[in-house]
Amino acid sequence: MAITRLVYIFMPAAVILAFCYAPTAALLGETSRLLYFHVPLAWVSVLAFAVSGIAAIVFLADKRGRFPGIEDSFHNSASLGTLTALLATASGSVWAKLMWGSYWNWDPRQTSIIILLLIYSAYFSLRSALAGKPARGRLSAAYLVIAMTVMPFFVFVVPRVFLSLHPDPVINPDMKIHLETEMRLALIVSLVAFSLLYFYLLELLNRLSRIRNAAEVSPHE
Amino acid sequence: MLDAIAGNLLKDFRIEFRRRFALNIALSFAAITTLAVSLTAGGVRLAAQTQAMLFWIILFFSAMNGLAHVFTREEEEGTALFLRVTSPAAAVYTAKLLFNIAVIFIIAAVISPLYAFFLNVEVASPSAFAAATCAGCLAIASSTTVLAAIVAKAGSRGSLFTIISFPVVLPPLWIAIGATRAAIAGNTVAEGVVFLLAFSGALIAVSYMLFGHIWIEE
Amino acid sequence: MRNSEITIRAHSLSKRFDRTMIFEGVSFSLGTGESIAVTGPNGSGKSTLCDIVAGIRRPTGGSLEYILNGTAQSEDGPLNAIGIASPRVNPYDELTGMENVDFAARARGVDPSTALPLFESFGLNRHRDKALRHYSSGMRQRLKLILAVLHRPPLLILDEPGSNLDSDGKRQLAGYIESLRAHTAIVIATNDREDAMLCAGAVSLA
Repeated sequence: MAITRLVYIFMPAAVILAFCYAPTAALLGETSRLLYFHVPLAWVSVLAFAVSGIAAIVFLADKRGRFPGIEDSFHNSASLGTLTALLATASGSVWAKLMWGSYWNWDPRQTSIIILLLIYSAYFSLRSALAGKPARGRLSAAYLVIAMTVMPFFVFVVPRVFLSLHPDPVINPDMKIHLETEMRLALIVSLVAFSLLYFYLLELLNRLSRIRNAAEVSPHE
Repeated sequence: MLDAIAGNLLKDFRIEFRRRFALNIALSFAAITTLAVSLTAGGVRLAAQTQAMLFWIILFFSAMNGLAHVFTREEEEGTALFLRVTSPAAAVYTAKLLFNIAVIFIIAAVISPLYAFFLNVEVASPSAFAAATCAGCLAIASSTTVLAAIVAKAGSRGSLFTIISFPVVLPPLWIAIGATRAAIAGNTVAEGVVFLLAFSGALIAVSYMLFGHIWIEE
Repeated sequence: MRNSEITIRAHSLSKRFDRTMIFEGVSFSLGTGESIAVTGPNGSGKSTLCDIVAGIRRPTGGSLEYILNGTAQSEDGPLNAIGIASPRVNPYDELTGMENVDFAARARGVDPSTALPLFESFGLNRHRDKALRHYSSGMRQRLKLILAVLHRPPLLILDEPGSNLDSDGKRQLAGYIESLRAHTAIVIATNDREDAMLCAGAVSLA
């Protein structure tokens, strides 16, 4: 997909908008610029989880082998999801230290991303235990589907167990974003840029997997 | 189909009864952790929240010791293919699920009185406590049985079962802890029980759909 | 399941484990009353082919059709139309011979008492109520054969059926196969010439 190459335009634009165009927020000061990286990273980690879950379902349902690369796709997407979830956690906790005084506060969104990381780490443990087994793809796909089924229950439970610290003005319960127009523009451009980056990297990784598979099957031995 | 499920259940109970290995280990583990908790607490009276939390932590880890065995036994002893050629996948899953529910209920039936006895837990509403415990156990068994099948295929390495089960079991654990605390304090547990039943239903439904994919050999 | 007509058509089956191609382009067709021997050196995939035809494993490529009484069956293989005895299909050690048969019969929806004459004809009657742990390997093999034919499958797959059998056992097996031949499609994987002689056709894997 050539459309993912738009990342070459959107990413520089996002960086410029974040540092030069967007004003600082009233209370948060210069640290508010973290917003344009932290929020998109968190968004991509969820997007990657959804993509790998859906790809896993397609892989399991696809008995006739119509989507040959799909087994690698859900795994590659999960890898990218782990990376972005880690980066989102790191950037978030730096921000939390500056704003709330400590790196970790068990706020619902922090808890959610920890759960996401927990699921990803369980998934990778399973993958490594299955190394070299032909059933690896099917079993890890099945696990992703189960993990995805549990997600809605987390959405229901987590806010009841942990109280929120996240700034309501940014994302409040009715899901509206209350930001100044310039900030909102910068955030949206950044969200698009990071989503494009995710799909761009996913394509690269899928291509790499295809090459690796082709190299393995070729009659060299 | 019912016949096949009954045949499978009978077989699993017969084998387990003759070996008693898995259940013995799970029960001993449960008893030891309960004693460990009460001994290390040193007779201090714990708050209701702490009591509920420790109770479910003990139950969760004891269950992790016992529940994977139904599937790992088949793979380790090479009987999985025999099972596969004789029984439809849905019958196998149903029988294993019922077996695991029975196992975790036995574990809970052993832990609960021990726990109440050694930790001086005074439950204000025993019926609510029982309801919360049963619903929580059901949720744990129904979400981890399919994971046990996955782990068995992976060669049942060490604590892999616990690692992959924990994120899946976390929501029902939270709710069960809340419900148990409410039961100890004498409050209503209806909402928690409904959640746990809904969770079990959803996971069982997904497990049925996935089981065929997990159960086949490559 | 008695008197069911079955036809199996395999079209260029292949199986690859990870990087190694086990076999490629295996095609054959088999109907009720016919039999084929699968032969080939060790590691040529005889057992794997048996498992695929039994619906235990999926082929990497190619297709497999089961036509039972004129209707095509699902791809995974019609469970109750197939009987398989193989070194990898092991009954339960903790159970007695009869309990194993009882389990298999219930799971397949057959009356367990139909197995009694089978215990007789495979010479296992005396050991019916002994736990499998105390069985010798020959007795175990006999039980596997009983479990494979218990539900009168129209398709019978025997992987190394003669292994661990003494000459009496082999004779009983050959006699029993003779009695099934008219209403059963039979696949035998073996390198034993005597066993292979039981079959009319052959598929040889390189």
